Amino acid sequence: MSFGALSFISPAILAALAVLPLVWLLLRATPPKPQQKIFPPFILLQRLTSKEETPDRSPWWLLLLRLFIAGLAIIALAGPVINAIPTSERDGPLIVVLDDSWAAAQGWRARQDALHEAAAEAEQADRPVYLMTTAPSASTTSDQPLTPTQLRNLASSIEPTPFLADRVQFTERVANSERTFGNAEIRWLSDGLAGVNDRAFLETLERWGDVSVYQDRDMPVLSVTKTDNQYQVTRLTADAAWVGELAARARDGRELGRAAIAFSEGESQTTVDLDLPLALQNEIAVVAVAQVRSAGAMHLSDARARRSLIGIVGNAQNAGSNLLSSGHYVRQALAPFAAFSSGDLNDHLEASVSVIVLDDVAALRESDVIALTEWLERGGVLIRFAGPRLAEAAQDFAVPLMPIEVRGGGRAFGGTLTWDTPQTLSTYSERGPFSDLEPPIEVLVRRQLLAEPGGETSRRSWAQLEDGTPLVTGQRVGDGILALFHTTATPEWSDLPISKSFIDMLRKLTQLSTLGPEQLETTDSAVYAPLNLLNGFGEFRRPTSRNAPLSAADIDAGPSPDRWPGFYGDPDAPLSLNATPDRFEMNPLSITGARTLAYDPTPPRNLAPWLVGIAFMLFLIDGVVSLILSGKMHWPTTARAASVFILTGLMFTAADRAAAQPIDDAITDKSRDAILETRLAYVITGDEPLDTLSAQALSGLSRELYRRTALEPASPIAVNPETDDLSIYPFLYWPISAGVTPLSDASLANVESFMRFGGLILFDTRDAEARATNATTAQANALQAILRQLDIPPLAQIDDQHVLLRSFYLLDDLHGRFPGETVWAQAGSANANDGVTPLIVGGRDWASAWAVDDLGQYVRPMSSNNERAREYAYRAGVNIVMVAFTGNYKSDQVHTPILLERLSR
Amino acid sequence: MNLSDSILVRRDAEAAAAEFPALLVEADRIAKSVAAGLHGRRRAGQGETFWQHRPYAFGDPVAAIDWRQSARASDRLFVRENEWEIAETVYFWRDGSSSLEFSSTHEHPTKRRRADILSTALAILLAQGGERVGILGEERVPFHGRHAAARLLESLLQYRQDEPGPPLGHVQYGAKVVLLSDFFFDEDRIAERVETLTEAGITGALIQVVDPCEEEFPFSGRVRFKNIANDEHITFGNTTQIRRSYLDVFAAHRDMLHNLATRTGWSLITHRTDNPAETALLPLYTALSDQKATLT
Repeated sequence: MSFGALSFISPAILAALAVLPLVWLLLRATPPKPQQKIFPPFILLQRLTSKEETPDRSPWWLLLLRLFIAGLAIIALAGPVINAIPTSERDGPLIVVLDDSWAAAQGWRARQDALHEAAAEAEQADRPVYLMTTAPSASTTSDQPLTPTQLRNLASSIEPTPFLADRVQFTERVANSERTFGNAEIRWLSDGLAGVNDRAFLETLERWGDVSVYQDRDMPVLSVTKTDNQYQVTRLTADAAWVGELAARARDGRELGRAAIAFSEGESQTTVDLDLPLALQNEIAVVAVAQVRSAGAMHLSDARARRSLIGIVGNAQNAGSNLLSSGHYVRQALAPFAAFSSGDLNDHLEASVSVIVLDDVAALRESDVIALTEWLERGGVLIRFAGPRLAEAAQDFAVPLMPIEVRGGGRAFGGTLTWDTPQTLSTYSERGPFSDLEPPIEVLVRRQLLAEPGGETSRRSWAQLEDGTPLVTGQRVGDGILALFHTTATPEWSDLPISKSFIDMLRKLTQLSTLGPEQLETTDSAVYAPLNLLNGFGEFRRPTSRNAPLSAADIDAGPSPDRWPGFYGDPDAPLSLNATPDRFEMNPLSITGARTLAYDPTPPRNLAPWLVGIAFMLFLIDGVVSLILSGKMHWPTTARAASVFILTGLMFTAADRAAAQPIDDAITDKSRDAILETRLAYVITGDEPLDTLSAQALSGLSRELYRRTALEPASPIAVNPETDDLSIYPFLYWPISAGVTPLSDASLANVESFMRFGGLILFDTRDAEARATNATTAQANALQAILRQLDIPPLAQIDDQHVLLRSFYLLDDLHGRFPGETVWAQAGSANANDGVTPLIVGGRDWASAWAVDDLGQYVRPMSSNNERAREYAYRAGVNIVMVAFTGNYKSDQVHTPILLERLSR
Repeated sequence: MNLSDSILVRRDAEAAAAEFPALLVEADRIAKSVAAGLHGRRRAGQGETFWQHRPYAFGDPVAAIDWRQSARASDRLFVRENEWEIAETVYFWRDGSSSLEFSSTHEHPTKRRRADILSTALAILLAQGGERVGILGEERVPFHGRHAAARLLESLLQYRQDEPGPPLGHVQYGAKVVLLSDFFFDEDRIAERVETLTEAGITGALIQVVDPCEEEFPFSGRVRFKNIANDEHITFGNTTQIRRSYLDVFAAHRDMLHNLATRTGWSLITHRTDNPAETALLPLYTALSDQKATLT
């Protein structure tokens, strides 16, 4: 039974509350029954009659108080718990349905914890447990029940897939199998994304048993798509404002740039402009939301989308940007996909353009030809357009840099003196790069530069007119491509420049500049081998043998179990398959009729002790009141006694105050107790689970220190930099939680003096895992907010010669619960405090690695599920504490050889 | 008298008879324990046992001279005196009201039983001393001899009483009266009766037998007290509160008895049923003896 967050362990007891009014009525109606006594000296009693009946009824308010006490006791017995973890008394199978889509990746640890929890419950109650996943992949759906150990192993190893959950398929599969589980308990660990027919899915699950749906709270689920040169970032829930960053990285992992993503409240989509130079833009391989680990929150750049730098060389006469200018139509056609270089040919070559358009240019100097040929062979794409000049020149000499030989003069159709009608562009050549373009429609060509038939002509023809004469010819030169349009780049000779085919063809040629000339040889059936594939976290993995190569059409068709998102093809110019389709809508999952739970529920709080405490206090009050009422305790006497007592106490305290007027602040009791023994300390954050964890961590570390070193610390202590004297502690563990309040000036001064006089603070942001993508986390922001206020020395990454790694154990790194992510300490060797770094900053969640509970059991698993890692974490902790206590004397050993040499001298 | 009445009488008689030997045995035991510590009247007087020698004084009959004793001394004559022995009558009154039919716990006897035991034991002692014992207010010849105590007890068990207080019956001049009761009735009545007896030249002892709860008032909470004699009752909401005043009243009552005894020359002996009967019997017996001596 539960009322909102409040629930009762044994609600049946609450029924007793119904009796209370009855008790009230009875108490009111009948006085308590007297004892019956026969008493022979009755005559003596008769002499007392003046004092016979004292009031036999307790006053109503006393009755009310007692009823209230009784009510409290009943409620306390019923075991009220706030935010109780719903327990199920079911003994049927436990079925965990997991949405292992990329949308779940950000909160994956919560899912893993839920799986571990399910394993623990199944083990405890000896129930069969099943794990079913909804994403369409090599599914881990188990038909046989798993043992808790299997589930636990699976929970540790399972990863989200880079696909969306396909609940329809799941529903169908279940419908086909017609499996039944008697009285099952089903936990649907949802990713929060609405599917196609969630209602049917839920009904399917409900056929098996009782369904609880787990949903994330405040977990950012984002998707990134690209339109033109802008990135659309869409989020699932548009409740609160959210700020993040979009980071662009190159193929080798370099970060190329960042742009802020800012969602205001209620906004679910925003457009982000990555303002980068073109050269960098073309290097972009991955654009991902820095704060979110998910295959959906990233966009893989296809090499085909790279923008080329194009140089246009026209003839000088009709330069300008009017409709007759030669470059105008080319510019118009390529503007969305390219940038243009200005200047003459030499400028273009210096700007290392990837495409050069020669519009009706016949006369090329010898040096230009050599430079162009060199450039071509390095991979340039040279596009030439015919025109009157070229036609004329062709009559006189063999024009250099032409794919085929052309006849001079050109050919005209449909003129007044010809009987030919204008020809239309008919087909693209099978072998050419245009083979996969849409067939041209109604493009009339009125004039054309004719190719010399025979030879290579037919093979190099990429587009033909109806009569079979080539309109576009091309050739591979070295790594580059040379293409010739047998008509002008203006609508003078043909309709081509104002047709869609023109854009298509130019686009294709431009792409060739980025994709490489192999495209020329490839045909429709060409396949691209997988290069790097994404997992659900948005991390790249090597493809396995199961990942088949894909054709370009497959890649464009979007992700599916056979088509893993990732990069395919040539490492330099890979094709990309994104986890999110280009047009992708995210809607939050809305579930009606099923129990919804959060992954990380607020911890349960048992109210019974409080209620019992209150009831007991009231009971004491009731006792005193009863005594006073029955005359056993005389109010005036009591009051007098109490007031004397209080006054005496006040006088003593006053005397104490008067006597002691210290110059310094008095040592508090806490400090006095703490200073008697050496002990580690941690900063309380106010976040109760975190503080408990810190205490457990330092207990664990103290235990290991006791075991391993000469240091025998007493039990750790919690300190508040605001109020406590820090100077008596040598070492402070300071876990940073998100949204910590800024420190006051007093505590800042306290912390600074702690560091200045030799204390060591270990700042732990505990976010190494979240920072895998080099993102800034909320904890990191909180830490920055603190450190920004503090006067701290310059920090540097600890290197492998740092004394922290050699103070007790020889370590290669300061291991924590999470690997990776750098750890920072004071840079260089300052002379102050023996060169001991006053602070260590990292995010490796040392506390979780160290924490042990009262029974000596480890509280948290290591991230790698490897207990050896815990041993290293303890060693790191021992080293840190050793540095705090012993300073840098270990680093003196750097000079040992010199000292030895001196001694021997 | 119809049949059922006669059956009832017989049943009562049988119940009384069943009680009888046990009570008698107990009284006998108690009497013996007390008798072992007593010796004679410790007075010279008419008797058969030797008491003391005293020097001859003028006027003593010559026959009284103990020549054998006198011969041991050279110049003095000794007279032999025997112990004073006189048969007295002691009348008993044991309160027959229902007030004595009370015992607060099962650990100690009712006041009536204790009173019966005390009177029987005293009767045994007296009878052994040759005295006669009788029931106050009954027109019967006092019992004497070996069976006096048993017969007294028999009469006691059959004793019924109509009004509170000791009856006014014929009592020989110089006799003793032993009044056993809790005296929880009208004080004037006690005083009147005792004074009447005293005027008739009679002394005796007042033995107040009380239950411990009557003396200590160990109650708490709300209690309804019922009179044992009738249906009267008083309810006190908070008995602990009235304890002090009850104890005052009780003490006043006892003071009244004490004053009465002092005034009339009677002895007052108070006894609680949780104490052994011997503790009352010994002072009672000695009190009677002393009074007897002072009479002479």
